[in-house]
Amino acid sequence: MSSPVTPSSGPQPVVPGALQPQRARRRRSAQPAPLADAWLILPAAVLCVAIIVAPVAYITVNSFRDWDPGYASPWVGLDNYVELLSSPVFREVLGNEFFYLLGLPVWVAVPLFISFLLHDRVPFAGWFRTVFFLPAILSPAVVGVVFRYLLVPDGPVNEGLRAIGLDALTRNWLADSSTVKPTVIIIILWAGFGTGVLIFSAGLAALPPEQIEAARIDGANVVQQLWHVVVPGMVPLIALYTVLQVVNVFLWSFPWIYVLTAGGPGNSSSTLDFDIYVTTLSFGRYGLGAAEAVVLMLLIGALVGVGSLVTTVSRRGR
Amino acid sequence: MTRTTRSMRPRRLTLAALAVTTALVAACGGDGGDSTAEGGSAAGGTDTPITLTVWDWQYEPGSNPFGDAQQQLDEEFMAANPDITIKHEFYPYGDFFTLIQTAITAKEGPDVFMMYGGSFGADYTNGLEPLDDYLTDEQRDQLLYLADATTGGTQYVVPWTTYTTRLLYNKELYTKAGLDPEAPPETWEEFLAANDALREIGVDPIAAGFQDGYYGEWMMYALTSQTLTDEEFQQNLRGELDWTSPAVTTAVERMVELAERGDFADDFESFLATPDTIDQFAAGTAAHVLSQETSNVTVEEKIGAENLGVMRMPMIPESQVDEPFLAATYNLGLSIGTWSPNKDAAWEYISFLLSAESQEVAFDVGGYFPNNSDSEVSSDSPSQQQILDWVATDPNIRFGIGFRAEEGKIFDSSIAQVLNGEKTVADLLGEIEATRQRLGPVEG
Repeated sequence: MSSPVTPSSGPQPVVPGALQPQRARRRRSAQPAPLADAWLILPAAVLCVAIIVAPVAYITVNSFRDWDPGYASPWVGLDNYVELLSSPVFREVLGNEFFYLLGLPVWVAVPLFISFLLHDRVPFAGWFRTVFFLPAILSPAVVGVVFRYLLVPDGPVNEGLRAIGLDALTRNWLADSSTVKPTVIIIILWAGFGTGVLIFSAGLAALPPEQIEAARIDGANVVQQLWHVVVPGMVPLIALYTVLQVVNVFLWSFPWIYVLTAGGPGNSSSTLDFDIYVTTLSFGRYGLGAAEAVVLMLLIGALVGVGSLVTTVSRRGR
Repeated sequence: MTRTTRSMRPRRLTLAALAVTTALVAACGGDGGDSTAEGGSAAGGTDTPITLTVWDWQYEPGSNPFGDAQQQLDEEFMAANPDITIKHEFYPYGDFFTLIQTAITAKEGPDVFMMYGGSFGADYTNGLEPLDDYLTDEQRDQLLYLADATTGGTQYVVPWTTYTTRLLYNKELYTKAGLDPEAPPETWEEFLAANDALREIGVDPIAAGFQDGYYGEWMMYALTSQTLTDEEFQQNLRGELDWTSPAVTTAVERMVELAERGDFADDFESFLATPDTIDQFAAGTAAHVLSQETSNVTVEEKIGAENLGVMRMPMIPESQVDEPFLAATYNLGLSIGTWSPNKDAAWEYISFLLSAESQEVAFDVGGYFPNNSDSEVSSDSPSQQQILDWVATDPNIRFGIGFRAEEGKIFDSSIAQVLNGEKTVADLLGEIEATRQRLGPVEG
């Protein structure tokens, strides 16, 4: 039978053979932290404010003005947001963004599958990974020029389709509003595929090989191994990569759209970041562009938040 | 006493920092006030060496006849003004006005730059120096199209050289199609009949590239020069013309008619205005092409001067004018940045370019038709001389519609869809009209 807990009574004598009493946990005094602690985080805080908080605040404040940098910029309240949200162009561009998100399964699944095939299955896998990564180091401008050549009506892609008797599949890929977005999705897959292979290959290397081997011995085919062993073991990495792709769609589509389509035909391929560029720098509508940037920021935050929530709930479900 | 835990302190610090930052930013992000002239090239008086920075979208000496002309003019100016150095910079047309917009925002940029006036210039007036007081009476007498280049009644832009919208045609293909190579069509019915004959011999009647929309704009200039009344033209300059009006709608519908008949080259949605349309024409796969200023020179080199014909846009039934006329206005505009510390020197340079002698050089070397009525030019090229004759003698010279930046963006990005049937004329013009109403009338 243990001795009762006696708080604040100093060290207890040690009785040989007896159960030693548990020392009461002394509650930490709720004293203010020393000032030196705040100084330690000050440099990082200043950097964070200067690079992130201040520009965001600056843009947000000016989204409520008829902002003309360096010139009269009267306060207009919510006018920019009203104009933006009631604009058919904005709604079309927003719809385009969500259409591009349909590319997520492809952008994630294809490099995941290929990286698994390269994992202990293919000779010279390193060479393949290097080749697959090459498009990632090409400038979007270069890729855009090449694909514009490839995809013209009498270009190599359509000529290839005609050569194998698939004339009915030929299209004006980048000038047809019904095909331009899927085409952009494929081009982005081509350009970013190697990065995904590299990332997922690193994740696969960290998985216990015995699990995959055990599944293989049990007769699981490649797809079954991937779905039942690899994917569950790489959920955090897959989730992170998916979130990065979502952010890419909303923040890094500009070079592709600028080079490939200029948002056309009409606005059928335009994205929010491209539209912000056109609104501010081409039309000089800085206030409206700022409002659009704020909406974009909130949208990304909401999507990432939803993604985190889904991931958290799914982890708890496991 | 309220206990403060360690976990709450960083959060409160963060919120405090955010609040302070926002307050500071709100105080700083107030009215910008009036613009002040800063930046530009090195300041100095007339005896102090000055560098004038000039931006344009055509300055490519060695690969562009106009660039060669501009280079020669710069050298002549600098020889006559040893204290002034011209620093001439080229930027692609597609990015040019974005760069001008950023220069206006930064209040720093070129001293002299190309610009369009009319309703187009309304979006840039913050950065354009009014030039009304710089123009002399003599210049006002000499220069054509001054009124076309005003914005809200102010001369922010001075017109330089003449722009004409006309069709070039291949005389050899005309002959093969059984058409008279010396009597091109003058009416719309004659034009359509000629296109039918050309299609019969397996050529595209009209070279076309609508991907970037510029070719569509050129066709609009040519067609609305026929359909707009004088009052409607002035309304457009003021930003008050209804884009859904019959004069504008008819012009687009005539373009759609050509597309539906198959008169445009195949896959016109995929080609650019330049150089693709000129390439189609020069290759002999298309019999007509809408041309720009220097294209006569380059095309003549490819198909031969004797084979190159030039015609004015055939008259559509809705034309306000009874007989063919040359659709013409100023080609390029020149402006001075409000930020330039060398405005007097900049005007000296512009005046030099506007002079009769300089415009003769621009024509002889670059193929640009003068807009100075005192310029004396002639050409051995039959097509060039024909245009010169029209500029000098056509009593009905007029021009068509102009676009503001946002209006042009809508038109450029959607005209191909209208021509291939994906979008209606009413939808396109409705969008542009909605934008015009939101932008409001042009202010000087």
